[in-house]
Amino acid sequence: MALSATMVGALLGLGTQMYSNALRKLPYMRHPWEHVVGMGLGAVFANQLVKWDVKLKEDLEVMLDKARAANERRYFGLARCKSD
Amino acid sequence: MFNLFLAVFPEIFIINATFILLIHGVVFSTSKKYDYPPLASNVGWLGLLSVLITLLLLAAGAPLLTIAHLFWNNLFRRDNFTYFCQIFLLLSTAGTISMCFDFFDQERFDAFEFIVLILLSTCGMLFMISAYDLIAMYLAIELQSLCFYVIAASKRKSEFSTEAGLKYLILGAFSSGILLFGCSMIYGSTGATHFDQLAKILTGYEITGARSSGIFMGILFIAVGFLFKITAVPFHMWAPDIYEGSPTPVTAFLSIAPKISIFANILRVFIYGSYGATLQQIFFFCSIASMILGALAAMAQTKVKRLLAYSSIGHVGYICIGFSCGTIEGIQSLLIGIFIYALMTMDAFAIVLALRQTRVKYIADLGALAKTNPILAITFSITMFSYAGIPPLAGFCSKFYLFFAALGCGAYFLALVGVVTSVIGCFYYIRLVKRMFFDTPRTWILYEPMDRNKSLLLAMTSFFITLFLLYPSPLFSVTHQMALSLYL
Repeated sequence: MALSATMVGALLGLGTQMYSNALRKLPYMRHPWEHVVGMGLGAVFANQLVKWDVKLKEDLEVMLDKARAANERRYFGLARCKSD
Repeated sequence: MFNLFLAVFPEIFIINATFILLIHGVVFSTSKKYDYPPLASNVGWLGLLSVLITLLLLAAGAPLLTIAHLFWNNLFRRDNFTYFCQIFLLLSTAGTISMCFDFFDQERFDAFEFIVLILLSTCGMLFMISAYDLIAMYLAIELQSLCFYVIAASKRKSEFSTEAGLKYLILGAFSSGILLFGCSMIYGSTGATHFDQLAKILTGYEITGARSSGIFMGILFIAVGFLFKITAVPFHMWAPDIYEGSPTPVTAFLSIAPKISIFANILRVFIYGSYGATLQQIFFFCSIASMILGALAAMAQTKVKRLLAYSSIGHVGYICIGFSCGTIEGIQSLLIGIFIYALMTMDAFAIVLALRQTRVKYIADLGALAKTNPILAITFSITMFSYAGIPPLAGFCSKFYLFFAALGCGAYFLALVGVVTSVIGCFYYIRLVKRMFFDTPRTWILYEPMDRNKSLLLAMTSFFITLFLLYPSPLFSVTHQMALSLYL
């Protein structure tokens, strides 16, 4: 998972730098060190995005459980009171 | 454990940075020793750095966000919704500032106050997003709006800019007055300005029979004030003139940043504070009218900026679909819609700024762009196809989710109008593509190379627009969290 995220991120970073050079009508590989920086930043970004996505899903589960519990307290508790 | 200082440190930092940059600008720009240097770029870079540091402080200072916290006499709230909206706003501001640097050089624009006012308005918008009281909300709106009135007129030698600033001031002040009148009527009828108290009083007020003309008029006036600010029909008249007359970076900023903060406010006030059939009908009508007018009026435009202004009005209509639903899915689709709209608009205005150097003002001037700069023409085409909602681009995803949210809550007519106006909108978006690839311009314009900031911004936003559909999961999860945290 980390390897594929790193590879995709590096590709994205490289692509971004090449696209940026192309927009400025420069040779695609001008200043190749910028492409290396782009690949590094892209790899870091992709890995962090994947980790953040996992954390987001966990936090979302916590929030949904909280909402479910609040609804059960409100509606099932009410039903229990009425039946009493 | 909630730490108040960490929670408000980003706002404190950006206010201090704004004032320090103002003093720096005033002292050095009037300095005879340094030969009265133009400081717009210098202050611009420092301003961009301040925004990025604020973003880092916000990200680093986040507590456990499944719990909401109220602070400063319960006037402000920090939760998931606030956190992500503020991060998104700061990213948009950073993107907009990065587009400006070449503009300062090309147009010989040496007003450093421009950046200071952008930072001050950003600060106002940060407070707007976290406001949890009508008074705090209004003060933050005014802080944001007053800065906008001035930056709209910042190009002092241009009568169009002065006209835009004056129009914006008059209409903005009018809408702020209506908003305040609505707040005062709500306060007069309920005795409350805090959103928690208003939620307890106003929830279901139309059903329980606790009707009051004061409450109804108050909510109506607040809705009208907000609709003015987001340029929804029928309160949209100011937008095309002001977007066209203002300097292009200002137009970019006006199209993106205030919509984020004002929609955040609308969700807090109306979804949490009060939501009833009347409000839903108002937003239904405004959504349908905005989509129809945005589609039809844009067809008649000959200038690029006016076309983007009407396109923005149309997109506000699509985004209001999410609000009109009143469901969690609706709010989630609204937030997805705003995020994607902001990135597409940043892309579009970065291209307009790049072309502006070659004095492209009319749509007809875009002719043969595919021959002079094919990559830029392809980027513009991708942006236009995304605006039109053509798959597999990000714009399609946002419209898809909005229409499905509308279908999910039974608003079939809303979804139908959305689809039909999207098809009509394709005409003028694809007309731009046709001009670039198949037409020749009236006068051939020499290409001038764009700067690195714009090219990097364009590359990143274009990749997002193109590749979003491959990995939409983070945006879906974060917007779901934001929607839930409005209720929890």
